[in-house]
Amino acid sequence: MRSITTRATIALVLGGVLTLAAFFGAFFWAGVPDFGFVRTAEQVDSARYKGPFEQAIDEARYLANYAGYTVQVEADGESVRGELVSADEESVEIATESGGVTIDAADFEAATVFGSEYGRPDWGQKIFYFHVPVAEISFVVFAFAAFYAVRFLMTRNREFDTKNRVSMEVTLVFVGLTMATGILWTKAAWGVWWDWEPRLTTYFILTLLVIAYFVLRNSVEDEERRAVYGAVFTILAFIDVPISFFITRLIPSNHPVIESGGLEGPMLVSFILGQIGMIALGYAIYQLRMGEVQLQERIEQAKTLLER
Amino acid sequence: MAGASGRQLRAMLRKDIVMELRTKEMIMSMGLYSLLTMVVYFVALSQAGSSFDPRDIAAGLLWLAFIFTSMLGLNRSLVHEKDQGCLEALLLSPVDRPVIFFAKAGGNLIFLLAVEALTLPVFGFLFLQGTQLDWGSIALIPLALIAGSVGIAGVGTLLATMSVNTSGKDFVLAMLFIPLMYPLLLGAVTATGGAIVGGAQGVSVFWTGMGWVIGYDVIMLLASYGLYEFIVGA
Amino acid sequence: MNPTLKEVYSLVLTQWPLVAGAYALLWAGMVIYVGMALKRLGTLGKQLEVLEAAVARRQGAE
Repeated sequence: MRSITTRATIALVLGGVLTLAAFFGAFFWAGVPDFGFVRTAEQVDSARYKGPFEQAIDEARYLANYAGYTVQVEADGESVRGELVSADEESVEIATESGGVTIDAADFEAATVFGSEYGRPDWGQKIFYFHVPVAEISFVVFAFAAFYAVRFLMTRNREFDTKNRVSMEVTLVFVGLTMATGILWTKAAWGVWWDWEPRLTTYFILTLLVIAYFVLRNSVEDEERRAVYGAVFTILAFIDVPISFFITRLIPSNHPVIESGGLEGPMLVSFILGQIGMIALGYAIYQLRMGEVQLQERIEQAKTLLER
Repeated sequence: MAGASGRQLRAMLRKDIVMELRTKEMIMSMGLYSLLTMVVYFVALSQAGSSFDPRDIAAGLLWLAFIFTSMLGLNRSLVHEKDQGCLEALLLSPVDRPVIFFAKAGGNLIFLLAVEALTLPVFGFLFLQGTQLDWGSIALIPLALIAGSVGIAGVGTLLATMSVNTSGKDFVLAMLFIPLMYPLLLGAVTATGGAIVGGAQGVSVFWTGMGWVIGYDVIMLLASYGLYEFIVGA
Repeated sequence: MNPTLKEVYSLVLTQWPLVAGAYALLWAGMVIYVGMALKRLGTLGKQLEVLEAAVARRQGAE
């Protein structure tokens, strides 16, 4: 008993420290990746500034998107440079230093647009240092639950049934946290709270299966039978884990995957810290719950002793 | 020994079928249930007007009816066995446990296929009249029905054997059955949808869906076959 | 604020409340779960102490 609480405490402290380290690493050390650019007519400030850009335009009507930008228009063998006032299929209006110039669209030959380019920081990516480890640990703990289920069916040792049940409880915690963080990220990255997308769907099914496990256990009265049913259902439900894990790589999916070699330096270190921290937290929660179960067993023992 | 198992399997299957022929209880209840589902579909679609193509949703509606009907049937078939003490008697007799599994699953498969064969034309009559159908690809639908029903009957028999011993029988069965069935349902709906839409593309979609269904059948039937012994002995 | 600047900042800033919310939720979930587990553990420990003391008394009396 004492050893379990000691182990749980050590794992808890280690997990807390490492996940916090991953948090600080993610926000203050690892860079923010960009997804795409914002282009503006002028340089607004230096944050995320990527430098100047030049856009070549070959038809007058495409200039309409760049009102307010500095343009250099070649028309009728001449070159005009100034701020673009308006452009449509008939004419292009430019404000130059010496006054306004109107160019017939028929004379238009080519144009270059000048402006500044800014990175769009992908803050949503920061969820990666937490959401991914939590999801991974939910799979890992589920794997342990399935392992204990097999062991139970082989040996019929009640100890493995307890381990199976406690592992499933830890799985439920991590699955819940994965779902909660994932839904918020989905809103940030895709603009919707939920999407019936392969990874999300299979993970939702996984959540339902873990809940079903407890529904099943709670509705069986006989203890031996409850243990066997729980073990069998854990093994059946575990088949969804590899499906959920590999589905983003098998069929087209919006859910991002880590490409091998896609992470470097501070990002990789923070991510690994987060993973180790989460493993420690998962282990700590598992040990805490095991300690609780063992205490309950000892209380039962003491009660039967007193009733005699 | 294989001969003996085969004989036992046939005897148990015959028992289920003879009982069904005498009472007609399973087919009647499942068939009427799926007919009632059609009424519910009509109500559900009544506000949609005629702006949609019924072929796009036909596969989903069909499998929805099959999945709920099959849950009804699975629950009944094992509740019978339990109430009359048949399962205990079978366990006492020198019958291999896998034989019990295959006999029960086989019986459920036969009833399910019978109900599906009755439902399919009724569904077509009620919802698909006046739509352009490609009969060449429609003829593939029975394949999808058989492949899907094999998975439903196999996994369903295992789960129903568990759920009849719980306090909330049908609810527990639904809770266990529907999430586990998700990959199969998706594949079966994809395949059936492809067959209903037809054309070269529809047929290629059909075979993709069938690939999913058959893969699921193989994995889940092996798992159910391996695990049934533990369930039935507990 | 300059409209261009506004657009840049809106693009930069829309995501962070949700990301921060996800982190907060995760931490809150962990802390609450572990806290509840520890509390239950403490209660059970106290119960066990009382019961074991009673058992010891009983065995001493026998």
